[in-house]
Amino acid sequence: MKKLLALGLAATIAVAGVGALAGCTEGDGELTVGFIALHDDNSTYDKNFLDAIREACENKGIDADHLIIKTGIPETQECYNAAADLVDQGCDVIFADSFGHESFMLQAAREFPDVEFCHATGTTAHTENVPNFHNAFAHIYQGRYLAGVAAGMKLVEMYEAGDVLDADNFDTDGNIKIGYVGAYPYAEVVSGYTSFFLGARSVVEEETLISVSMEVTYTSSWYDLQAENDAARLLISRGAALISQHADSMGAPNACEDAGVPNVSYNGSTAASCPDTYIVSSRINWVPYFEYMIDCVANGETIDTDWKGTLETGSVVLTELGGAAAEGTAEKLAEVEAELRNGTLQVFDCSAFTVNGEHLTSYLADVDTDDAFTPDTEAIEDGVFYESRHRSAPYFDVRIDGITELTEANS
Amino acid sequence: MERVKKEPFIHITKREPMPWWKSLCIRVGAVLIALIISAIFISAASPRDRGFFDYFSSLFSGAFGTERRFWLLLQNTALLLCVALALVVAFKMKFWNLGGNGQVLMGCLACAMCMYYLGGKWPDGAVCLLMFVVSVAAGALWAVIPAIFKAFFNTNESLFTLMMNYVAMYLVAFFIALWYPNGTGAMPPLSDANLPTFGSGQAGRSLPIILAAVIVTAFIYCYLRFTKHGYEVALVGESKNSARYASINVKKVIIRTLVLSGALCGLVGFLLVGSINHMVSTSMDSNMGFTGIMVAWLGKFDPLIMAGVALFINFLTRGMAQVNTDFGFTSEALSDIVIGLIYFFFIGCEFFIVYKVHFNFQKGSVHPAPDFSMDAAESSSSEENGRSAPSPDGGDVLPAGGDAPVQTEGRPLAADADPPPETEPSPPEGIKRSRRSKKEEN
Amino acid sequence: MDENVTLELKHISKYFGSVAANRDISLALYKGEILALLGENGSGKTTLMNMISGIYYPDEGQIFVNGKEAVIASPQDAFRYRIGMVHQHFKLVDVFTAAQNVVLGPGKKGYGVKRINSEVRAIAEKYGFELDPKKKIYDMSVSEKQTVEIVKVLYRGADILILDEPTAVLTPQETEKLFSVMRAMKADGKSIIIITHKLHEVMAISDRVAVLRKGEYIGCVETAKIGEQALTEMMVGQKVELAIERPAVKSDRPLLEIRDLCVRSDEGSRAIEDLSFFIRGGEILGVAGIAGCGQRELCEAIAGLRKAEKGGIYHEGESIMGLSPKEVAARGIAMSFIPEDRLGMGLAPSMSITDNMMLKNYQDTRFGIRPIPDREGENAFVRCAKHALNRAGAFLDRHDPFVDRKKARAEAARVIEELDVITPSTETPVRRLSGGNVQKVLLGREMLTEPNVLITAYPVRGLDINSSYLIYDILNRQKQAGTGVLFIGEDLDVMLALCDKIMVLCHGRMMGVVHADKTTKEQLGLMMAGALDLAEEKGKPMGVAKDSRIGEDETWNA
Repeated sequence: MKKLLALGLAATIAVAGVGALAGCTEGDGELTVGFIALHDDNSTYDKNFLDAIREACENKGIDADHLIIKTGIPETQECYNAAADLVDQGCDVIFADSFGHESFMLQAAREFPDVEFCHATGTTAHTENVPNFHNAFAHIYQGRYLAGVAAGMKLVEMYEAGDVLDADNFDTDGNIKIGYVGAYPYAEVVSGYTSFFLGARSVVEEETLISVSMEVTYTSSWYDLQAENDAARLLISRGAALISQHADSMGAPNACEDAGVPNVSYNGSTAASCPDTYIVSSRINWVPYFEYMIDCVANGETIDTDWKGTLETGSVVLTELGGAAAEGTAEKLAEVEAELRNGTLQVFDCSAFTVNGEHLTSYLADVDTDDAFTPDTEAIEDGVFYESRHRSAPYFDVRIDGITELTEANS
Repeated sequence: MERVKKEPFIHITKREPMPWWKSLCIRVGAVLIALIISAIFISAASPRDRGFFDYFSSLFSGAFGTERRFWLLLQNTALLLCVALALVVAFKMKFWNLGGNGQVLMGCLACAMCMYYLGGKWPDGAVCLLMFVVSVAAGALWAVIPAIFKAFFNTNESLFTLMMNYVAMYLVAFFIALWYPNGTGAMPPLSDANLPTFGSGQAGRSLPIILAAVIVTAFIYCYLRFTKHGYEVALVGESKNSARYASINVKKVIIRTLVLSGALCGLVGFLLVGSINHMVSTSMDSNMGFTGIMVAWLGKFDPLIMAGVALFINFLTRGMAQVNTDFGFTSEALSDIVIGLIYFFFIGCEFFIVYKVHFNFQKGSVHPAPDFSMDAAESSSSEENGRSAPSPDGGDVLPAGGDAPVQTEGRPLAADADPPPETEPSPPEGIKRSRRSKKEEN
Repeated sequence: MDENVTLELKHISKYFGSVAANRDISLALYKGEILALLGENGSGKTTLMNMISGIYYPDEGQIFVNGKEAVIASPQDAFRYRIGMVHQHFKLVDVFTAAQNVVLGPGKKGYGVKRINSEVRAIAEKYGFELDPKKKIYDMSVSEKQTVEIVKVLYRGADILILDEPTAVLTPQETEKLFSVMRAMKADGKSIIIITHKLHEVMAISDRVAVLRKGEYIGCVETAKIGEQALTEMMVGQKVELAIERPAVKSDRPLLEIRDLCVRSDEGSRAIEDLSFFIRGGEILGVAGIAGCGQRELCEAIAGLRKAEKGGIYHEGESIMGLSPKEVAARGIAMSFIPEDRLGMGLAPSMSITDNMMLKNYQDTRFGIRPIPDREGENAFVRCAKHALNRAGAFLDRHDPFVDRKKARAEAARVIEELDVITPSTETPVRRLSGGNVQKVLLGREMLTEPNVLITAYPVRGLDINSSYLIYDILNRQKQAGTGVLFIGEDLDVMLALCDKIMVLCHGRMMGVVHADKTTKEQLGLMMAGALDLAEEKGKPMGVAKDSRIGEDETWNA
């Protein structure tokens, strides 16, 4: 009896399998979008992208059957396999969200010239000259700057309250110390924390007689809950009065919540889990880019090789202010944002920062990626370091005064 | 006052070993039940409007749907099988090599180092040859260090090999950071010294791997079954005392076997980096070192069964990824649970193959004492010859006649232990009489 | 309903898988009697008693205690019915005292040391035990431990006692003491079931005998009305000759000589101390001693598996100390040791019989490359080339990587045929063979090497009578062929019948070597207990051969 049942079920499955094979997917002529994600919804980084692509497709009338999402694709040959598989399923445009996916997307782009391949945070589209391969990013440093402004407001509030900060929150020069948990010591991260620092410092120097100094530590991972938690705790123990991060897990916000230290987050509001310490978060809103991307494919236009989103395109946004934000932050943020939009305020104004005591007049950034990371492009014009101008991915990797990277030597 | 206990409700006995096709049916049945249950879960949780049978078609489509997927399935199966075979060599010796991940990674790293430092500078053929040698050696080295400690100091090999995994992982991270200091820990593929493929399609890229796996399987099968080394491995695993009795140098065997085990893992690393990815990352091993353990045990250390299990595991993984895509799941949590459920059924059905469960449905516990007759009935023994038992009077012998009511309905129960060693099989085949008669002839 | 029946079994059956350990057994135990449960190894005696004492639960049948049906599902239940069992393997806590072990379990009134000591002493004195309640278990001899087990059962108020092979570990004197205690308990109204396979004891102590054969109940008779021969026939099912032959063989010069051997055990204590003895070709030397007196270490030392601390082992005059097991075996010394779990040392349980056959000589397979012969009239160059090729060929030949199972399979088939091993095939894993067959395989393998010295330890442990006699037969044939046999055993009666000489060990020291036909069980018993030391008899040390093959200057080396 049991044998008959087992045999019968096996037969049913075999039939279903054959049926599946027969009806395997191929393109049906409608616009199909493919998406390759590094992790899945559990990573704030990918969730940001996934929410955006779903919203964009809905806005453009692409139904769920024509948006094919593959999650958990590592930065190896698997990415190429996934891209090729998406092409097999009839995608017209494929998007990948992680830096390490780039070379494999390029490989696929060369093989399938009729399909558009778009990639975020990549750096080689403008040098490789593969017509159907494109990079995209946004002027997120502006969002970071604004987040820094909110942080600065909070620091001023804490300073003026008199009893919140104590002696080890100040460094030897009497400046307030803040901390930043970074992932890797490269341009995207450096650009992010420098703009954050500049934003905070601008407010503190404006409202008080003291300034701000920042300590940065690296976890060598985009997503490592424990390492980020440990890093935040290290910075707090060294006296940081406020913490921000460029990392995908809840490690640092949790550490801040436990210690009661205010936190500026990235890529998503942590208000739900850190109600007492969450101030604000900056993120890139990918919906405008995705809508642009879909439109171009639908109308047969070329997509920008290096697309840079700005405050205007709505690509750089701040999430809502948390309970820990200081009073007047919203107004201040609106004010600064207006200045950034009309160009009166430049984040990387060379007069606002020094390197080894001197203001920069010239700096060669490594814009065209090569194995030796040779700097090749002059980035400073008219006393301003123009970030994200020559390519979409950030290339500001200057270490300015006031920011210390914690290494073995000085920690 | 005595408390009379109720007879236990569930009663477990050990089964006789069953024919192979029967146990196969039970296993297939378990998997099917698991798939059906998971289909119900998944279709209930799907944000899109997908039904019960779409689940199965997605599973199969993800594994076999296109030519590319089919070759990738075989390729991944080949890699997993190689790692599992490497582990089996050590497991047969009861050396629990949990360091498969680390050994594969060291093979990957060694290969990548050759490619990075020598690619483009030396001729490709020479570099490829060197890559092979160095990868295999690196994997072997990573396995032989714990082996030496186990052989000479009797350290715990599970812990040692496990910890070496992390060392390997951080070594890889170190070198990536060394080579690409301004990078994000991801390494771009290197273009020099790539291993040749059979053509440009996916089939061409996968064929060398599959071929390698076939060769390794045949080699390990022969090695374990037909060679002296294989015999020694089995003997050392059985009991070190018996091995000493056979004058086997146990230390030498342990070290030699782990060299082979690590070398095979290193070979997998060589294939991963040299042939498929042309770059290395800290998760290049894809956890095959641990999945391989499962393949080895479920495959009962038999290379052919292991191939089937490896195929099944990859079928599940790739099929479930397709299910995620088709059903619109962007969080992998549910599919991970489902895969776990299927493994649970697959492994759990072993219990029903080894044991049989009886249920006692009788109500009440004690039956009234039956009458017995006082005649000197003979016992129900089948052997009648040679019995010279004197005829007992009245109270000595109790009848074993068939009229007394006996509880045979769903046998009365108790938890059983394994049969005691003294039990002989019944009915016995009987001892030949010839021994005795030969003796009487002298 | 007979008032005197205290315990009754009706149609009891127990199955393990498809194996019937007990089938349809019905018997009765009367108040105040000693019932012997007699049967060969493997007849189901212990299983039956385990059901009465609650360890197993019957698959069929019922148990009645004092006329009322009893459901015994655990040892606790058994105690409630006042049934207590003393097992073959003691369940004692070594670091506790005797009294602490006795009261271990659900206590009645707490554990006051003075009170329990006096209670235990009272019980012991009542029945004539000699027991010091304050003595720790690890300080006790085996028979004292057994006493503790019995007192434990009595302390719980058992009226029905079951003793499982109690005399297996006792010397003859201790056995007598046990019997007198049992008679005292019987006089007190207790009912005792004694499980045994030794006929002498059955005749000595029991009132009635119940015989089991292959799981089935044969019958129950009064001891006074039956003889040993008839009982054996009931046990085995056919006429059996009980005599063990002892052929007279002209013995040869000493083949194996041991001089002042000292061997340490795994725990570091001296297992063998200053032991000297010799074995001649064509004789069987028995080794008697209580369990754990160094037999295992002695066997291992001779076979090359254990390093002796000092002393000498000489085979045909040459020292074999320090040789590897393979080299020792190459000289014709074979050893088969059956430990308590009966899986044999030198056997791999999950490997097949064939694979176990080739355990000692699997290394010896060769490709079969034969050297090219020289021919007349060749010039030097050709000859050199041929020699070089021959050298290469010989090297390759020695390093044949493959095992030869054909030869091993043939050997396995021969052993199965000659020794009547019951097995489905030569490829069955050894652990699937039932008890006695494992020993046959082991002994068979050793004998295939045609040894000149055969050391065999407990070869008939767990074997039924027919198989046991087969083994004795084989040993006699070996003796007649000129082999020197060292026979380590437990059953003194068998050894007295089979062996030419018997050496008694006690705690690793030799107590004496006596001619089997000139000694008695009692004398052996005294030596085993250490009460009688014949080592220095008439001023000369025992165990040193007059016509020794060892040269004077080779002895006494460290």
